[in-house]
Amino acid sequence: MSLEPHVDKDIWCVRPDETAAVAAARMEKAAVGCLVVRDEFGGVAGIITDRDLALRVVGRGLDGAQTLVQDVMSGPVVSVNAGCSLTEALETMRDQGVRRLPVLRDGLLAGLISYDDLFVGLAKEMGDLGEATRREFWRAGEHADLSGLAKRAR
Amino acid sequence: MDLSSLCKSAPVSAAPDMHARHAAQEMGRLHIGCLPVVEDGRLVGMLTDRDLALRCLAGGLGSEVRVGEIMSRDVVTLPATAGLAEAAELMRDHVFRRLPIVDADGRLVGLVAADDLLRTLAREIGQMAEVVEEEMVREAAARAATEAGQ
Repeated sequence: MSLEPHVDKDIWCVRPDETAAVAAARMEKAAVGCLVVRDEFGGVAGIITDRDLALRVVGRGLDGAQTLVQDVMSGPVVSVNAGCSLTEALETMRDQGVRRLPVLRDGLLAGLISYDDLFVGLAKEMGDLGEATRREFWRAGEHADLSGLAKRAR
Repeated sequence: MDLSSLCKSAPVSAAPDMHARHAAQEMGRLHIGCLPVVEDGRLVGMLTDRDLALRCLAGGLGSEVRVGEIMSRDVVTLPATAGLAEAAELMRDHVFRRLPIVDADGRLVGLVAADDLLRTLAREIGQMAEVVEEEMVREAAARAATEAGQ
């Protein structure tokens, strides 16, 4: 299965020289838990999550308005190519112990793929399968009624 | 299966007068993203790593603020006798990924996370896949036997 339909292209970014307080405010405004840190050339310098901010800024007693993103982000970051499969992306998440991966196309940031998005996609497929099973039961019941009617007609 | 088999025993909790900085250190040390907040043995709130990031940094309250001032007070609990489906429904309705489990006296027994539910469900789905695989093997054997008899 291809990774492409699961890639979130609506990504929120932060610069390495912006502050932790700015990053937190952006996460709140965008209702996201993760920002991609982009350097001045548009490359991916790292990733910063709400948990990074909690542990590395609040946990160390640092001032969020004085602390720079580049000092508390996670980087360099593991990424995947847009052409890779869903299985490859999941294996990378498992091996690296991360739940979000930047997706690159020709070396440039194309989007983000998150474990949550993959899970929701898979759950929908499971739900569709369950619905198909339920409808088959219903149709089998309908056939049983028809055969009963046919017997009575005879 | 009820939730008591899923929830972590002896849950770690925070007190409302603990500093945010200390709560963040505990979350890091224990590799958890959420602390139930307990006062006089009673569950009074929940604090997540996201609460710390947004309220201390985006909200500008700093790391010395007390947990009681930044925790979520609208806590939804489940009895230990509840089932997996009930937990999943509550998580869906309230958009929480972790639910505190309490006993009949309202005391905290443990936490159940969406990840725990997923692992249990995945095991059950794996068992269902095994039933299908076994059936396919048996059918193939039966088909081969029929063909050999012809």
